[in-house]
Amino acid sequence: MPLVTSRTEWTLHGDPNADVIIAGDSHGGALQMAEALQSNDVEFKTARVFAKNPEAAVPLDAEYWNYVRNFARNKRVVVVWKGNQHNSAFLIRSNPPIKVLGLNGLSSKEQDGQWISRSALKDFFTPSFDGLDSTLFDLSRFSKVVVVGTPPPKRDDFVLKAISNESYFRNFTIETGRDPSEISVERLSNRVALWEILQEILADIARVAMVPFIPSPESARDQDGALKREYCYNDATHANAEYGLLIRALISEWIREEQ
Amino acid sequence: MKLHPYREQPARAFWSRAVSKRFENSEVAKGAAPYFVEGDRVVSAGSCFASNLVPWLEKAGLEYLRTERPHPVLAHMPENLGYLDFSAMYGNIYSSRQMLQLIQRARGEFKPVEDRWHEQGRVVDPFRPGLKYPATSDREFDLLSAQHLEATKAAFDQATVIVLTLGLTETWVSALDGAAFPSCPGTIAGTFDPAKHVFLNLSASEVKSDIEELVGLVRITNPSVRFILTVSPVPLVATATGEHVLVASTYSKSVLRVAASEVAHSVENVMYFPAYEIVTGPQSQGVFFEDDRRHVSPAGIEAVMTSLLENSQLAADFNSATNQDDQSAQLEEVPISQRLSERISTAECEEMAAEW
Repeated sequence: MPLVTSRTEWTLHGDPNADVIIAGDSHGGALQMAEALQSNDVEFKTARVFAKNPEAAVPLDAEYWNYVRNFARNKRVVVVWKGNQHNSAFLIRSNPPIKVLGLNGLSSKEQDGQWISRSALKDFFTPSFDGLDSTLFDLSRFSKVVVVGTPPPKRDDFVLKAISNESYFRNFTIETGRDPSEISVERLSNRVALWEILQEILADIARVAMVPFIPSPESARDQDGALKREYCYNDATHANAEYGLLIRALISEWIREEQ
Repeated sequence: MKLHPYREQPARAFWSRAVSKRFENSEVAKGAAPYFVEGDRVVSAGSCFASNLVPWLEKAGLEYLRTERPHPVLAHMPENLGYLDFSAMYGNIYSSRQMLQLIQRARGEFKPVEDRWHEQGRVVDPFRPGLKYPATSDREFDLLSAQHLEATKAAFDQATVIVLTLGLTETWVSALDGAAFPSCPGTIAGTFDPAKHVFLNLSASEVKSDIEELVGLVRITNPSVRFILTVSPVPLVATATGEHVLVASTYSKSVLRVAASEVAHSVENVMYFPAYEIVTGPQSQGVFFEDDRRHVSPAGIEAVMTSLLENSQLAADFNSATNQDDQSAQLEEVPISQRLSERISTAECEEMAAEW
């Protein structure tokens, strides 16, 4: 039964008898698409709780998560919490440019820019995780829950190519009096470092809620930490169904360990 | 009529004519040269009282140099303890020793042995212990500290006027190399260790020497910069001397007051501005302090700043009203890069949904 709210209409996409419910934001789409690549003899079936008309999706709220809980009772739930916060603030290179130290101690070799502490960025992103802890506690009462990491950033050329022909990109740059060709994507090393901070926050919240966290697999990343091209969906930020397959394999492992 | 030196003195030289009656703040501060002139680029450092001047200077059309501020994308985030109130993010500097060492560190001439504290996953700067967003690794600490010191040097190198407000003489220093901390280790951060942390109450000659050395160092790369010295009228919050805090505070302020005048008399282009006298003199009858008898009231700050600006050579008459609205209007709007990033991310989430 769909849930009609004043903002949108939520429903279950997929088999109502699915073993695993995918809940959360747009990066869950890769998991959903991955199922189509698999044979019928899959280890587990998934269904996704999302807007009935996905193009009319709105930010997820308490109503959404209550709705998820109804489907998730006595099932497994994969929580995909946002994952585009770094893109939302830093996809386009800012002025002055930023410099962020990566987890591995590496950073951009370019000299210009302003160092920003990881602790400041952590605080900057933290509000976007409001509600995750209570959601996990709540879902865990009747379901087995796992949080999955969100996909790493894509290489600069992939991002630029993906956005350069988009009308909203062109219109925006014209509105702000800028030449689209002068817009640069934020340095990959910074975007990777920002993404790492998001993954740290996710893992921390999951740990406190005593819920397992499945990080984005190292095998999906290239030598610079970016999402490998073969796992990129044809836009600036999302991963594709093949990436979804990688995550499904990790979810399988989790299920086996659980059993 | 007998002639003697007092005969030729103006009214301002006589207590009965300049304080008992007809007291004028602007007269107190009248110096040989204007404190500020049109086009000045101002840097300030010192105790918390020093930060009061910034909105007044900016409203008077002077440029308050800022070489280190939060990145525009993070500009809305809070910071602690006045780190955003000065030209670079050095925060409040209470002692002349810490002020001197800041310049030495910025110039690469002093590297304190105890230069970081590791606590609870954070790497804390002992000279900025209250920073809200400290480093989380030694490597990050090195990068952030180097950036801060570079910004500090840039501010002092680019200024045409530097205002130094001397706060107090009591300080805690490292027993290893004399590095002066802004607060006693263990109060805001760090751990107090009596074997490593030593109390020091600076003398007038030590403060004078610190300031003279500081002026000399800054003028190596900025030879024409002028200095304005002031003494903060805010009493000590606490003393470690064992004396009554009023007695200790009076010693501190007296020492600073003497040292400031001695430097102003002996070093070219260093002026003393009597903020201390304007606020604490008997003519103020205590009305320039808040009820806690420590913090300076808005009226006190207005009296000080009006006097300072009236004795400056500015382009046009300044408006003496405080200007909080103007300050908030200066806050950065959301940067274009962030707006575009946000739009792309939102649009893509909607577009990808069409695939499901």
